[in-house]
Amino acid sequence: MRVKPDYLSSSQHTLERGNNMKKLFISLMVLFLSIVLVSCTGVSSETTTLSSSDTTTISSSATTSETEGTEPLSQDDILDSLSSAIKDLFE
Amino acid sequence: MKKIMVFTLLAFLSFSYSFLNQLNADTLSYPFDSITIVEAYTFDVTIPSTITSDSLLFGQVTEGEVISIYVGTLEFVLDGVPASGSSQVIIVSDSEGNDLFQFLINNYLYQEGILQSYGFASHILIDPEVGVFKDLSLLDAGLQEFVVVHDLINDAWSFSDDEGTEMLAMPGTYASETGLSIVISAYSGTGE
Repeated sequence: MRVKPDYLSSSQHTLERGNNMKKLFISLMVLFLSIVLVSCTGVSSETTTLSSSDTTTISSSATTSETEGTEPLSQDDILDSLSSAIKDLFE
Repeated sequence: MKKIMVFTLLAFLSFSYSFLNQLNADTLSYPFDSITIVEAYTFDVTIPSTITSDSLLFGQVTEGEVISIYVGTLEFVLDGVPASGSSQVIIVSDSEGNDLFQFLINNYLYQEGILQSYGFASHILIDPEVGVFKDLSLLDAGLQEFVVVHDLINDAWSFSDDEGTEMLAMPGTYASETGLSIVISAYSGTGE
């Protein structure tokens, strides 16, 4: 039995298009998974850096006798300190 | 099949984008444990009669009163190392030396050879564990911003309130200090 050449050609073409789409889809998925992986690694290392810095600050503060239980000053306290220091310069 | 793949891809991209944005927003911070004042300047201005009732200064000062403007340039330090660049603070004091407002810098404009403009706003906040940040929710009540302008052509200074009322520096009142190294602790009990 002979198969019509046109039908065979169209079928092959459809198969090739389907395969190309799958390849494209898989490539894009791999690309974005890579981006997500790299980004998450970057964010994680940044977080680690910040955490270690915080820990270092607290530890170094805790080694001095007067700094047990040190807490960050409020915005008002910081601005008041800055204000006093700056105004003292010009009195 | 093709449509399913496209929709899946779009959904995945949207999720990835929002996930990464959320991660970055949650983790970007610039903590510091002390602040160094490296420069400061001051000048006085006289409250004009043109000040409007919508001004932040309205009700706090009287017409003809001389108020003082102080500006300091700050550097943030963590463990003895510069942490996140610099900032500036403005202090507006009444004639008796009481602080009326303390704002951090919000924007800066420089026109070469013409002027330098510094905007200080109430929605710029400071937290030793976070750094300097903007709280945009405070803008719901409107922008509260003072502006200091250095006229480079005439080497003159001026202060404008949040309503744009300009007050020129009184002659002979401008003074500045540079090369400073005044350390202010951002934590209680650590000394200065």
